[in-house]
Amino acid sequence: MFEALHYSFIQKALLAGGFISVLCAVLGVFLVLKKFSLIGDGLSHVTFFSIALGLFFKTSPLYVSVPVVAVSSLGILKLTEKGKVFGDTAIGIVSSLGIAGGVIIASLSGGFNLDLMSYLFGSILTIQWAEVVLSVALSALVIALVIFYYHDLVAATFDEESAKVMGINTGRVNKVLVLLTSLTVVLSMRIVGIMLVSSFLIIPAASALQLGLSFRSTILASAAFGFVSVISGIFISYAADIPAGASIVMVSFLLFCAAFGLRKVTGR
Amino acid sequence: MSVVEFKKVTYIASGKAVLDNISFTVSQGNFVGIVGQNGSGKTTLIKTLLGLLEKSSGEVKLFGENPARFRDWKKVGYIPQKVMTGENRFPLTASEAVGLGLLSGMKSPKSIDSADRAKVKATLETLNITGIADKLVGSLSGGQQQRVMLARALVNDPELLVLDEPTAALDVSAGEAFMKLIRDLNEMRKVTVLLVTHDIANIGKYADKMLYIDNKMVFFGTFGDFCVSPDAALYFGKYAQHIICHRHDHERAEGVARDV
Repeated sequence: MFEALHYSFIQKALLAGGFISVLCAVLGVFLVLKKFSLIGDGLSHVTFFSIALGLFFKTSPLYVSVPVVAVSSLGILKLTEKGKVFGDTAIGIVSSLGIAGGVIIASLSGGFNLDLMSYLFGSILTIQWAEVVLSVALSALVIALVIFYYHDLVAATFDEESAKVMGINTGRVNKVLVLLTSLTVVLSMRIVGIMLVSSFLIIPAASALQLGLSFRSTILASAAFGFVSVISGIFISYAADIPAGASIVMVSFLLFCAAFGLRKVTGR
Repeated sequence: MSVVEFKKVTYIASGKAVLDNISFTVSQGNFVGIVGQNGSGKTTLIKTLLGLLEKSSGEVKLFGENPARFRDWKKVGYIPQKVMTGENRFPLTASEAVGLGLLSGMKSPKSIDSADRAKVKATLETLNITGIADKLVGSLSGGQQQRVMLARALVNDPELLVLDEPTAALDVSAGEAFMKLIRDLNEMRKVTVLLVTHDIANIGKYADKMLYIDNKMVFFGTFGDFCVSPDAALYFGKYAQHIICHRHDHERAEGVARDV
């Protein structure tokens, strides 16, 4: 299996996938604990719209997706905070709007083409070096921002009201969190695809939370679960000739089962 | 300078005055109990004080400043009515939770160094909870969780402690132990305390002043004043006022005898 490492497409997939898996897993811990984990799913549907838009205007879907998904993530936050709409309802509204918009654009451009399908289900093995560089750079930027805001994020996730009384600008912290999530969803679409992107954010974090560790250790465990899922998922995909996105999610789920079983056995 | 000042404060929500023309002042070292029935505006009052809600009219001052412009949050320790500790999978140990209290007033990027960790350790020791430092907050009993929340509020040596029904989820003995701890902090460290509670007996026993609200102010003063207040007699009725004062005298005397 290690001869696969000599192929350039595997090297690119491992590099981009490894970075993005860690990024998703770290952000996922905060999203899951804030009960905002489905935002990834909602934003991925908006990504569908933005990709259709990009393909319609024959521009790179990435350039269209970043601003469109970022604005949508702020829209979800505004609906929740100012509009007093429940978080899951706000996500549902924006999500269905994204799908509807995407279907309209796709039908105007003559139906679903191959490019759009590759974004729906991911094609990590066909990504280009430019995309790898962008993925690594943006992952590094997002991880740096998470480190910068780490204590603010933990305090606002644990108890938002007390965090405000500590002088923490929780409105800004929430904005940073959803903007980072939107960037992450856009970056992940080429790897696992729009349909499976939320699994990257949710499953590693949910697995780490089974272990009953401290906050810092939970983040590290989540990153490890995400990284192992992507790396082994890519190798399994190569060996078994199955789509990489799906095999990554399956490995991730097996790790969740193991963590869940461990919790039951140890009674933590 | 007063620690807390309310001048003719009104807060209107959905067309209803939740706080109606409230005025009172709290000086340094006071232990003030805020009492009232459900929906009487107790929590709204402290949220207005802490800048979590914006008053509709009047003037609120926290250490002489408008709460919206107040920045010296290190001076304030707060235990809200409901903390997420019921979520037993929340991955935060007791010592990590206490460490969060050090973030008050810190600028980003915030970092916790070895001196801060020593402060956390000392606070855990003061509250006698070093044995649970590495346990997840969600896995602790209600009494232990409240001690952790108190440690988080105290780790920065605040001058004002604001507690919103801290004993509501505790059994009688845990609630009693918690209240004694607050009284000791008030007496020994001269920490000003604002305590929201349903339990008027606790106020009589531990606080030196009582603020009774029913959306508007019913009474503010010492328990002794309460017992001879015509306003309180008019609101509660003379008989109920007498019963409350009698019970207070009895429990206070009992508490003193027990402490001796």
